[in-house]
Amino acid sequence: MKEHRLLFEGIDVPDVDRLRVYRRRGGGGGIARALDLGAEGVVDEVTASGLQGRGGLWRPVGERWQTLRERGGARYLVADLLEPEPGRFRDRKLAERQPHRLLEGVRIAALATGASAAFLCIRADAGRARKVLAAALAELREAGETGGHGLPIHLHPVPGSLPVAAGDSLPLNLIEGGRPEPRAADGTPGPATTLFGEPAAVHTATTLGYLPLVMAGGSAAFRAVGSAAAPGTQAFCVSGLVRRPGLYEVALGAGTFRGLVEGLAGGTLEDRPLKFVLHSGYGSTPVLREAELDRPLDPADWASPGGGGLDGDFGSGTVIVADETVCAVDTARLVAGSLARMSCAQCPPCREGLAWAAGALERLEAGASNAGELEQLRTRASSLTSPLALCGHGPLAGSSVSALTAAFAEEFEAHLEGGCPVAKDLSMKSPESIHVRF
Amino acid sequence: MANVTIHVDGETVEAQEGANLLVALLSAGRWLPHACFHPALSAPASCRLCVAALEGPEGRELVTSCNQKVRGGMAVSLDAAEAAAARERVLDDLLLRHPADCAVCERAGECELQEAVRVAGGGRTPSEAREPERLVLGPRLVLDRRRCILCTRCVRFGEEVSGEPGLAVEGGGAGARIAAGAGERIAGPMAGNLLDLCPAGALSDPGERESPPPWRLTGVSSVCAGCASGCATRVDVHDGRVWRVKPRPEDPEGGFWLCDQGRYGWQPEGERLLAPRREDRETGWDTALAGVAEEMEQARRSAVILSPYLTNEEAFLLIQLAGRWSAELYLWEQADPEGDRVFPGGFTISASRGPNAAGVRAVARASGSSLLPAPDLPGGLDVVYAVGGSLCGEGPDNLPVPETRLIAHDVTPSPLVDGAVIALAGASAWTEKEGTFVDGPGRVRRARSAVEPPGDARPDLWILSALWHGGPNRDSADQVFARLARTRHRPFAGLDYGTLDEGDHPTSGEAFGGGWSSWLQRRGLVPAADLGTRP
Repeated sequence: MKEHRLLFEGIDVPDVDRLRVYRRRGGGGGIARALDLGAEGVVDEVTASGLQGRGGLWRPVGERWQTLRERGGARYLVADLLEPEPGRFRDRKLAERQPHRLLEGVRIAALATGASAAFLCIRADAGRARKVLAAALAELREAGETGGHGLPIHLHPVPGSLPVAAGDSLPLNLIEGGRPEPRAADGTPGPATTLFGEPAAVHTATTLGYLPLVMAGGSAAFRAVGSAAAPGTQAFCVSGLVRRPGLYEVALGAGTFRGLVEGLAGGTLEDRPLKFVLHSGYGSTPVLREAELDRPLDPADWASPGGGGLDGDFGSGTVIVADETVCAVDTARLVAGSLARMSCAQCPPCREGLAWAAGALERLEAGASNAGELEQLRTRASSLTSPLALCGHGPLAGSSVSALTAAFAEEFEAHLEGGCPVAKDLSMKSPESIHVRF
Repeated sequence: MANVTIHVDGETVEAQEGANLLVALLSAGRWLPHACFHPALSAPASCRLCVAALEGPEGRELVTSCNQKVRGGMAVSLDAAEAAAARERVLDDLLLRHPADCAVCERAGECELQEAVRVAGGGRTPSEAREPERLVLGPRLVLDRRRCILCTRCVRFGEEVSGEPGLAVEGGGAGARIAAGAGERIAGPMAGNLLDLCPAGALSDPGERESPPPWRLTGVSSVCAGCASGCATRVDVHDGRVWRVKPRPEDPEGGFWLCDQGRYGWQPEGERLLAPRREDRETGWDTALAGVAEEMEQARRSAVILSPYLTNEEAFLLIQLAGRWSAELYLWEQADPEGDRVFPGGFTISASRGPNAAGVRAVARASGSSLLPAPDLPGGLDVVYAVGGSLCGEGPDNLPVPETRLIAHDVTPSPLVDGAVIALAGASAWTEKEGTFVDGPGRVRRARSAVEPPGDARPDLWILSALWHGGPNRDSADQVFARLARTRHRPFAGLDYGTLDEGDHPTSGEAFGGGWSSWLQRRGLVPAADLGTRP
């Protein structure tokens, strides 16, 4: 299995984060062609390319724009660089290493949606990415590409730990200066995403990063990479107990999770037997055990989002690897506990229920739980579904704990007899400490 | 909005297209638990309690009803097992760390959470009690964070209704809590509404500990006597004593809010006048009233100063008495120099103090008399009969004492009473008067006597009627009102107590909650259309 760099193409070139170098290497061709084609031409080209959103839902970008344009377009474009999921660092790395590719994508998307201002919503703790983006924006301004008669692009750092899978309203709420929490849709069909009362288009930064490639190279060239149903590449964030954790960009449909983990990432540390892979980070359903690693890296083959034959959700490409020294109960505790702390505290099942689940898992890990509580944990986790929470954070935590209890039912039961039977060497590394390859 | 029908568990229910589905269901008498939703606030749909099942062509979909709009012909199921299970689950989550200290909770018996759990379940998972965490927000407001279920009604109230900087959610996850801003004090004239808003007893008034439990209280429907806004109130009494005053949204003119002046202003700041006095000595009513008649009848030139705290009926009798005594008529008023106070949510505290300045003027017109403003009171008067009535010592302030002999008709010792030869001990307009007021917008409103005046004090109508008849032939308020209505003057023409009582849905005993929760107790009484427009 080989890497195939589109998004991260050229990151080894010195000073590629400078506008001068970016342009010398052909950067800027996307926006130039977009300006030639006009908004409708851009939407057609992106629709033809089959580009899908990289936030985890894999929604076709061109179709979203068409719908948006039928409703009068957007006033604002928002690039979402929040990626609060532990183990996900793709947008941040894109901003750090290819800021001008991202900014060019922002300008193309603004052109296509009719937006007259753009926001880059980024976590305040992404210090380097903020610095690089700010410098890149200054260069663009100096070159007369943004500000003045160009598109104003605002860098908007936001504090705090954030809910995951919270949807488009989270960055919008943050930009408006609200609490770090998503808003409920108001029950009316149509775009519920507004910023300062005006329609807004929200895209994950990575999605926007592909736009210069689609526009400059043309939709046919983009479609030449990846599978028929999922063109292009995905940059997988691989972390956990692997030899070479990092970001691996591969063509979609061209390999398997085994190839990604055992090939590109070098397999487990010290060649210990691999126990399981969280293929979509803290929101993985199902949890892939060693024997299930041959699942393809193609969203179309999975029940979600592609409607394929494989159960579960392909997810957002956040791969966390655990070997036999990792306890499934302890992992569930870590997942539930982290997501409980990241809950925005609006919905009781998420705010109270996850904290309870983390406590119950802690008791189970310590051998202080009982069969009744374990049963209650299973029921509560599996029933934490959509009407119980207004965004995806709580249900994601519930399904994740459910997936772990399902994949390692015996290990969970075994914990009832006096605590954790797993010989732990290392616990899973916390995502913050993951060394990224670049 | 067009009237449409929707199907709720197979029954047909009338609703309005585009209305809030939860309000439509509640108005139709179908109850769903809810905590974050309040009809006068925005709907964040964050408590996830009001789950209902929408039956669509693609099958059943569970939704929170508070952020759904009514669409004609829609089919909703509240009884669907999945929906009931979801509601019970959320309540179970809410009780995981709620202390369930109902036995010692001020809100027990009128708690929305308690009611919800009683009906919809929850409490199956063993809960862990939190550390007590009480935050004093003001002299009448304490936040017990253990009981808080983070519905954020109090936060949104500050942002959307009172406009007073106040509370916010701080932190995330299970550590999230309601926090107060600088100084951690909630001041301002709307703070008391937070007591009615809180669905879980987290915000309470330490004084409520002294009060009988709500199920011992009896509510009496009345009108606030604080200003000319005329907010509908419910005066909660037990054992001949007023314990609290709550807003009464079930009244067609009523809203969910009451300012603190209305909520607490019924308590006199000082002592009350407990008996009539003559020459600074307490005396009997016969002596006092005979003295008044003698003073007024013997005066060469006299005046009567009416008060905005008089009911229409009392004003009517007093104006008739003034005619008999050939006394000139004046009205004292007090207005806030800063004008009406309008809050962001539309609630208004009128600049005009007292409930009935407009009514007294209307009664004078109906009686064919002219009223002059009290500051125009001339010199050279022998006797002045002046009515006070405010509990905080307000009254006409330029009386030409000592050359004028003053008859004071008031409720508390006041400058008026101090200068009087005869002082009559009347009733408080807040809780002791039977009668009607005319509020600022000109509507006739029914005030009801919740308790008897203290000691030997008497209702003003009793006093004036005794003066009129010179004996025991006492008029009742409705009889006097009938005479007033017969003058065929607006706004009294065509009205009687029967119509008025029917119109304002008088409370018949229950004293459940305040504001929205008391509306819920009598759910179905107010059409859904009204709820959306309430201040």
